[in-house]
Amino acid sequence: MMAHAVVPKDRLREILGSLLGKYRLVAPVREGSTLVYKEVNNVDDVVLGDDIPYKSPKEFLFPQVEKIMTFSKDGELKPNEEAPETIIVGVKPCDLEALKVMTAVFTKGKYVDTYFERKLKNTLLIGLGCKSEKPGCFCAERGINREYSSACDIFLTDEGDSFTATVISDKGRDVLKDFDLERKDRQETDQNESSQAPVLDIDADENTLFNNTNWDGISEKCLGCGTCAFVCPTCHCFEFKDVVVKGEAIRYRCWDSCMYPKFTLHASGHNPRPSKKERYRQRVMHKYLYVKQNFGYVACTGCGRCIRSCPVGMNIKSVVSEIMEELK
Amino acid sequence: MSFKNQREEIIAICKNLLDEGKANLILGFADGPTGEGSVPFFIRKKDEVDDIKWDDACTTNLAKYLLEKKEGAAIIAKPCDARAIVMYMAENQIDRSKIYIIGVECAGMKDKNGAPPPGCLECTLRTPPIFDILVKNDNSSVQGAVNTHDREEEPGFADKLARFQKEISKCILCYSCRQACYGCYCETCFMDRNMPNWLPNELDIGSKMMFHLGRTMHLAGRCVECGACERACPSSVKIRYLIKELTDFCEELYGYRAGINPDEIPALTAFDQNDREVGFLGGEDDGSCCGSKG
Repeated sequence: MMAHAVVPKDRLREILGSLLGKYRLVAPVREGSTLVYKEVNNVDDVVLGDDIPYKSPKEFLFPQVEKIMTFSKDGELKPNEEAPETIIVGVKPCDLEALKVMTAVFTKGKYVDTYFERKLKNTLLIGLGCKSEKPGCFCAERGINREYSSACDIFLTDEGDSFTATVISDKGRDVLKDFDLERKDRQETDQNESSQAPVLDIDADENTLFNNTNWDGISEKCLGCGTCAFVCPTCHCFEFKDVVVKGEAIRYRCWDSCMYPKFTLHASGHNPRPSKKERYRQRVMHKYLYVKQNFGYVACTGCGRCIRSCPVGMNIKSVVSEIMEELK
Repeated sequence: MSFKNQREEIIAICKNLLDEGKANLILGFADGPTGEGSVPFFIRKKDEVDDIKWDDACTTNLAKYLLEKKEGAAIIAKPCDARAIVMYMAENQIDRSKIYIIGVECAGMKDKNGAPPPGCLECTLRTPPIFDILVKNDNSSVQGAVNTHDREEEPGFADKLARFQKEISKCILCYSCRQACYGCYCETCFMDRNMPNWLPNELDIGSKMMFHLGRTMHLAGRCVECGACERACPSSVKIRYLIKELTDFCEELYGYRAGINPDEIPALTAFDQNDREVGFLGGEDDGSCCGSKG
């Protein structure tokens, strides 16, 4: 049974402040003209508004560069099991949906990624509903309710001077139990998860999509900069790098992107995806087909970040619409 | 002539080019996906021509696409696009006779907040240095060039380093600035090489300095000041000032400004025994260049 509480905005700041010592607190903060998820040391920096940070919070579960182990000459192997107790506050429904995809990819497949799993276990997610659709957003077309999601521990709904906090998990309840909060009766029906089928979805077999789509035309503008992958909440490809330092070696895991030429470059020199056509095709097919085949989710939640960040206006929403039109 | 009149002229020129078969592709602009700004537009059919956008939001430097479309392409070129084309000619990257340049006089661009975008503020060039046909703009209210690089106000070394490091702390090393830059066309960027490996491994300030200083040095005397790097940056890193410093340095020392004359040998390609050697070991150090005081 979910419980609801009224949390005045000042009070929320106090609560976050008192949790600050115990947890690593991650929240949207302003950095010049940009809004970005950052580890905060001062709750006054926390911005819980309607704007959406330009990058997703995935880096706190799946860091851009992660030292995963060190090994010495005599074979001693030390995994880096660091996973600080973390609260991420202000996570939007599109990103919560994306974390479902990430969780499936990293923990529900043939192998479990213990690095991701450990971090996820130690992370408390506090969601925050969106009031308006931002330019480039298309969560509605992807069947996601921008106002509410239960894929977190506590969900906040902005009510003006206060938030309504919906406590979803035991973990969420435990964190709030020491704070005396006013309970609120609320109709459960107010907060339905969207059960609408997404209107933006590709229903085609792999070969048709691969062979019968005008990938040359679609990818023509692309610069191959990979910004889309860096801001995307579901992009999860990575590479390893071993670095030898004095007496030991360190293995790093770093984000990679299918938009880069080196992503598929073989040691032989052969590259099966030699141009942006193949690379962009991979991006769309991975998001809308391969993850669905493997894990049951479409790996695009309509957050619109890639559309907003693209220097040349590549638009996955219109690309997918175009493909749907072609397949009709 | 206003943007509106210019646009009509551009459309007429493009229709003509496609009609006469002088171009099989025209690189231009169209409305952006979110209704704001503009995006590159590849025009192949006559009925697409009417969707061409030309206003103060057409900031993208289209020249880089010429590296892929080497033959039969026409390009709508602002002064900065045209300067990039000049550099491609000087660096033997394109064959001038195989492309058609629709030069467009530029009254200055605006970002979505109405302010001049990166590059525009300091730009002194209103007419493209190279074109096959020119679309004029006789609007006298063009933005005046502002000198944003004031040597007198220059801070000391420690402050400069602090400013640089503060700015690049926002960088996420996605290299979108490199991809957007006309001048970054190396087949394999030094940052992508792994034998030897130039890129340090942690996402720390050292890695970011490595990349930005490396890229800056590679652009010495080559930057055409189009501002594509800063516009492409998802993290709003304002890094162009560093390259601007080298650009000014190059102009002062060697009298070379990139992208003006295709027949002039680029500064870093030319060698003259009488070249000034400021900053070289044993070279002159008169403190007048590169803000070497402090």
